[in-house]
Amino acid sequence: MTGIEELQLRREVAIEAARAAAEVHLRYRGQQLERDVHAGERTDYATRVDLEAQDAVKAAVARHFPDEPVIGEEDHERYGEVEALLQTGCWFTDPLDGTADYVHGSPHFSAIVSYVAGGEALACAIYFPVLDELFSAAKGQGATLNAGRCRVSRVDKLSGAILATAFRGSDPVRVTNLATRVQTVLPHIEAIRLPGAPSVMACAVACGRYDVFTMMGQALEAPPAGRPFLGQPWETAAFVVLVQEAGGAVRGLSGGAPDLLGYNVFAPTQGIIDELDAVMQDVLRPPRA
Amino acid sequence: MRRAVAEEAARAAGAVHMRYLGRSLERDIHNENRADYTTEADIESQNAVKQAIALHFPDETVIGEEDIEARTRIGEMLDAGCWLTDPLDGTQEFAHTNIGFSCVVGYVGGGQPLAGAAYFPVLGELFTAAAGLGATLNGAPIHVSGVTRLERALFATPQSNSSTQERRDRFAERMLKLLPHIEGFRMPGSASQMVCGVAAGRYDLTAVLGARTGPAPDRPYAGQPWETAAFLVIVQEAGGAVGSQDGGPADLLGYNAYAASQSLLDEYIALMAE
Repeated sequence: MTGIEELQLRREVAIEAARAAAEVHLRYRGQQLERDVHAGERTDYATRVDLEAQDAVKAAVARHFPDEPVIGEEDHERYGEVEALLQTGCWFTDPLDGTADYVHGSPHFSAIVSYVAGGEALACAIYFPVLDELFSAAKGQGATLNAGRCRVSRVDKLSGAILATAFRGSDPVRVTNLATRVQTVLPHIEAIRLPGAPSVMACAVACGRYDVFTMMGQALEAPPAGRPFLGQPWETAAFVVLVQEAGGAVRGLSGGAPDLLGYNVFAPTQGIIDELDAVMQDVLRPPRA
Repeated sequence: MRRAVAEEAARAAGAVHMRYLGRSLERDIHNENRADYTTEADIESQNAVKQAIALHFPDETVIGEEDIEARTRIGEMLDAGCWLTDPLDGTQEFAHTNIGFSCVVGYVGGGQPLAGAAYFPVLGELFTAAAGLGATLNGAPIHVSGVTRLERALFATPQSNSSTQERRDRFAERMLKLLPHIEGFRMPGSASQMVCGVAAGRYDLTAVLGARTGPAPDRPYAGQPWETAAFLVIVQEAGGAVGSQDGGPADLLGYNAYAASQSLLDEYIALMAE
């Protein structure tokens, strides 16, 4: 198998796994679900759908690559291995991105699966079962939305951009961060959106529905409790390869290459990221050590 | 009957949207505010709504968001009866080829909203309602979530990139006040997405955080009755509670909060009044 054939296979396995998770989503949709609240934070919870969908992803990957590790958002006890696995190769999954929207009956939730090796995101699939939208990409092979090509917008100035961002939790630091950052950026953009799940925003940037996506409500200074890194690689890895292959630019929030373990800015052009930097300066970037 | 006509008119506008979607359109910018604009698709879909209504009620008045002059007189028409339409709600979403835009059509008589429809052509979702007859999504009855407390509520609000710094500041200030009390905060794009979302239980509460405090510069009232008429009947018929954002009963000419229950509405109004 050549490198290209292998990547193509990994992309297809990611698609198969995301569709398997989506079957679980649809089976439970509309039912009353117990919320398993994480660490006393009432806005952050998992349901049995998250756990069963994660099992479905693992089973699908194991059919093709039985020896490869699969790390899901719900594998809290394996977070310590993640940094090393980025190099040696592993699969990531957020088996149900948008749990709150799912629980509330919204169609805007997805299953995310990606493959990472050598520190780089190489293949991904993101599937929204109710909307029947499948986004996928593999490094060097482009990005697709269902059967069509997936391309970022042609917006090339921040003033014409729709900026999408997210917020989770009721922690006072995050609340203040979000409000301050929104207030700072509003005069410089065309519009701001908080649609919900991160995959909605990343996929919307990849196919030109939105122009910029970055997290604004997060505490950027230190990792959350129980996690040795700041970000959410089980979603970020997929977003990075998708937006890059859709012709967009991705940059780590503290500058430089995409940061699979941190937060990033996704945009159609590097120029827009630079403009956003100039506007946000101190309010967006974490303080340097 | 009026509900069926509202539906037919909204679908006719949706066909116009789909014809223009993805084409680069000239933006006619309002009041030097680059985030507030009209396109050819707005005008043409408004004509489609008017034609559809005229087929059934040729003598009745139809006023659309784009009827800049006629809409100043909406307040005088509410008792006698008229049709109100926002032919393309979510013009920004539309211009950026996003999926959350719709056509909204409502009918008001005796000062009360009596029938309404909102059609999202890309999503293929049609919300309709008529006073006393319930609300539906693609023909199936819909109900609000019934959430009764802010701490369990998904709150949705329009982004408020309006022309004045004062309104942007008010938006941020109210956002800061509200965020610690709710489960989730959303700004999905079009007003109809938020209000229909409340009717279908996807969101629990929607209100405008950066609302203007006096009448708009081009009309003798603050709100957007061309969308509010349909919104009121859709949420009320889905079992929700609607009230003026400033407290008091729902106001066709003002800003309203739409909630999944009366107690949620009351809690929100009380918090914001503090």
